[in-house]
Amino acid sequence: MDANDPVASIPRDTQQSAEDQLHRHLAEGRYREAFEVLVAEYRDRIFTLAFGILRNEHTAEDMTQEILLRIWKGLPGYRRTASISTWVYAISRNVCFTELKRRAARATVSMSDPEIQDKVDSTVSSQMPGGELGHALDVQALLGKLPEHYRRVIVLFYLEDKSYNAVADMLGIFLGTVKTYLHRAKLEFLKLIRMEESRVNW
Amino acid sequence: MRCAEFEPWLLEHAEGSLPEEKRPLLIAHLAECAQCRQTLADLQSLDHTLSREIRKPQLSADFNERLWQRIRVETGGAAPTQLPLERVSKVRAEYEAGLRALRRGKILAAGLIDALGLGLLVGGFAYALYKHLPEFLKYNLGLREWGGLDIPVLAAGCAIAFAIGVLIRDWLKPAGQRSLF
Repeated sequence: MDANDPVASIPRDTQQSAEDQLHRHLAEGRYREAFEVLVAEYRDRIFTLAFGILRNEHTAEDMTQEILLRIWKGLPGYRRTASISTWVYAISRNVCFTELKRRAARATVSMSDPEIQDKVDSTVSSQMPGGELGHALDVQALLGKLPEHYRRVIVLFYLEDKSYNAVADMLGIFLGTVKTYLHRAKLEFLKLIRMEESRVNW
Repeated sequence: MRCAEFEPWLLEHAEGSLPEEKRPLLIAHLAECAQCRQTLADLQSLDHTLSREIRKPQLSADFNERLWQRIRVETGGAAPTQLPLERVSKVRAEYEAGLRALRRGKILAAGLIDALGLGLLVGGFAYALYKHLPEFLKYNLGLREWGGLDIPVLAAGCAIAFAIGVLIRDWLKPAGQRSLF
């Protein structure tokens, strides 16, 4: 793991022991205890990943419930061929992407949709104060203009305290890919800000 | 090095992950390139902005409570079942049953071939005995008269045919169960 990776380096011991505890419980068939450890360890990270993919807090919370329910049902089927985090994140991505597809398939979206309303709310609340690059620009709206795979990486990177490793684990992609996407996303974002600013200044 | 080549370094520097040995070269370039200085300033500013604007969402306080409630509703509170293991044993049972059927089929085939081979051999042998043995014995062994079929010779022929049948049957059995081959 990266030495200057704040998230990965600090809770490593707790991660280890939680993982060991989980495996012990599973080996002894104590699924409830195993699940409790898993929820304590992964609940927030699953939620973050779901939020990074689905872009909406309420949907992300619903999907986190759905994911954990599936994990509970699938717990006896978990084999140590994959690490628990790989397994958990794979289920999470699966559920979230299915939900995305399901939503995309629904042709009509009305403005009264809670998701749209949330977006409008967050847009209002995230207006940046002046004096900084891109001031008075709406960061969330600009993020929305990025290609989806860039937006996902950049959002998760900042949500996971700038850890490349965490993002790579969550999205199931290589560390190098995370870095590449992130850098391209930032350059793209700068371009968008400059375009937006020149449009405003006109 | 051109400005475009410094771009990844600028990005890493803004994130604080630029390797130490690259730093002097970048600093030297920044001293003489206003455009890269501006890009770096923009990137650092962007980093601050994104750190501030991308906020961790919060789960509801009653999340765990609702989760357990949902688990109780959907599974009746029962612990998860060993579904995959059940599936594994089911597939294994099916596989073994299939293998047994296949063996039975093979043994049946072996039996048929036994019978056919044995019949042909016995029949052929008997026919040869009936047709030619008298002349054979008469002309080659110098025996003058042949009173009819000789029972011991016929029995020996049958025994040989049976032995060949047994060999074929054994050869057709699954590898672990053969006793002769």
